[in-house]
Amino acid sequence: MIQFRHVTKSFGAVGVRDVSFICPPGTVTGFLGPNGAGKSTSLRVLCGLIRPDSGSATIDGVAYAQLPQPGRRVGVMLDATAMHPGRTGRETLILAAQVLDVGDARVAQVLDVVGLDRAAIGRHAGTYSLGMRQRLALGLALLGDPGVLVLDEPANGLDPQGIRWMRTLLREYADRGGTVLLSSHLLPEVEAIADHLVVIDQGTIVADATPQELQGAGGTSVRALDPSALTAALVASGYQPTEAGNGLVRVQATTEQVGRVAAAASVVLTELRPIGHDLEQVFFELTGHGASA
Amino acid sequence: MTTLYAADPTPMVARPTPLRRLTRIELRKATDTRSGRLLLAATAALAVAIALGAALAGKRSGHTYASITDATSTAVFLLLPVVGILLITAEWSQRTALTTFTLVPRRGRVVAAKLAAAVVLGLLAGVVVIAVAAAATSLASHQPGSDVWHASAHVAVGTVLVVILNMLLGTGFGLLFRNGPLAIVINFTLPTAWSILVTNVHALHAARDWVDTSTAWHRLTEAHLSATTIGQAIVAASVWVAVPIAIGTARLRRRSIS
Repeated sequence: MIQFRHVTKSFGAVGVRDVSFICPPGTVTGFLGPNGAGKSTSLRVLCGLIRPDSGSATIDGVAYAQLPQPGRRVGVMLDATAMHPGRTGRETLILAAQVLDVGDARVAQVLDVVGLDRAAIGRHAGTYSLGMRQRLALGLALLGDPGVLVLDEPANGLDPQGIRWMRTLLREYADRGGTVLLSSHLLPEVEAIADHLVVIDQGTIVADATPQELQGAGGTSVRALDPSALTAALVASGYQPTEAGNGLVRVQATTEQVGRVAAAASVVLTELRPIGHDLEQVFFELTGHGASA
Repeated sequence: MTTLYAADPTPMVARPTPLRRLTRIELRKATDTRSGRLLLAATAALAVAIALGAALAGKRSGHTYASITDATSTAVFLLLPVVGILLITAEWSQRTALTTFTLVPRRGRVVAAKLAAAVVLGLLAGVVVIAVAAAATSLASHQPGSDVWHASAHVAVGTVLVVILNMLLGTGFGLLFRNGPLAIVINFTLPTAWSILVTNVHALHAARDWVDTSTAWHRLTEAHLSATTIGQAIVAASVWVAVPIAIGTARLRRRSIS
């Protein structure tokens, strides 16, 4: 488990103030915020690269720098572009493998997982595309078979297939009990896999909730073959539906609640969806960057 | 939350990376890039060229092992400290410090491993110098009856020591400035400028004897070692090597890495 407790670091314009949140095991936490909001600073504090003015960040209760062999507990990817361009991909991995004392078999395994082929890893990292560097950097993070992953903008530079591949990888990792903290400035990248969203803006946490909670209780929009029968059933169950015309009914209830009422009344539904706020809208509102549309 | 926190004591499986392994890794980092290999190859090539040049060209007599070793070692004094500087500064210029210090957050251990790697490289280069110089000496023409190999053991051991000290001098500048070009320029100019100053200003001759690396360290290669010359070499090493390394390490340990 990752825990930030009142982390404050003044740092010119990119400082952070009183950052507190928790990433429980088995979950993917999306750490969202615009560029320069303090995501990278927070993650560097967590990894012992920046000493906070006050507060602490721990992994399973221990400061990162106190872990005897941190790479075996925490896989870290802070900047995929920060690689020696004159070193081959394989050599980059081998150096880390020697620090971690993991063998060649693990290096091969990780290369397999991140999908870098033999030809690619024999080339200098300077020739890599950003997407390949991201894969290599993710390989570095996975090398020690850690239970916790800390990834700064891991989707940067990946093509849509790459993003999907990474989502699947991280989802499975969390489902096996791993803890994932990944940052992004783009909501769609994390929306699909995050169980938990922490939004930071100008160095301060402005939201810490599940995506569902963030979307808020906007109610449900439902369409039925027989709208008046549905309305009557909803009223009978204590809800206050409004007919929006065109067979559409809106009601302040979850999709599950509406579905149960409809099933009990044997009303055929043709459409059922949460109205809620658009998550992107919420993100823009929280980070004070105006409406997107 | 509190229960999770307490109920999650994942066993500490791994031990810290031993310093010996970290040193091996730093040595590997000095040689696993094209630029690193080129620099080392250039150093060796220059040493061989100077040794052969000194032995075969120029005056036909008067060569001794000491004079040829002296000439050969200049190649290593010139280029090897750059390898030491880059051992440190490449972490910043290539931004690999992010990975290095994430894998080994105890920064002092990384610095210790880099210094140990610098000593090993200095030792190897020093051995190459005395061996190449010995080969060149045997090729050179000698005045009949002159003792070409006079005090050769002194010369050999002293030269290896001075090569190591010069390597550490450069590495210390790298640590102090964490900026390759700046450290290289300072490494080439500051000790030399200081040397010229203290050699030419009569009032500063005491400083020359005690805190000028070229004077104080060179005496280590001479046959007549005394407690004073050893003391002078140690004082010069403290000022030019130990102090920059100490200041650089202390600053590195506190600094934010990003």
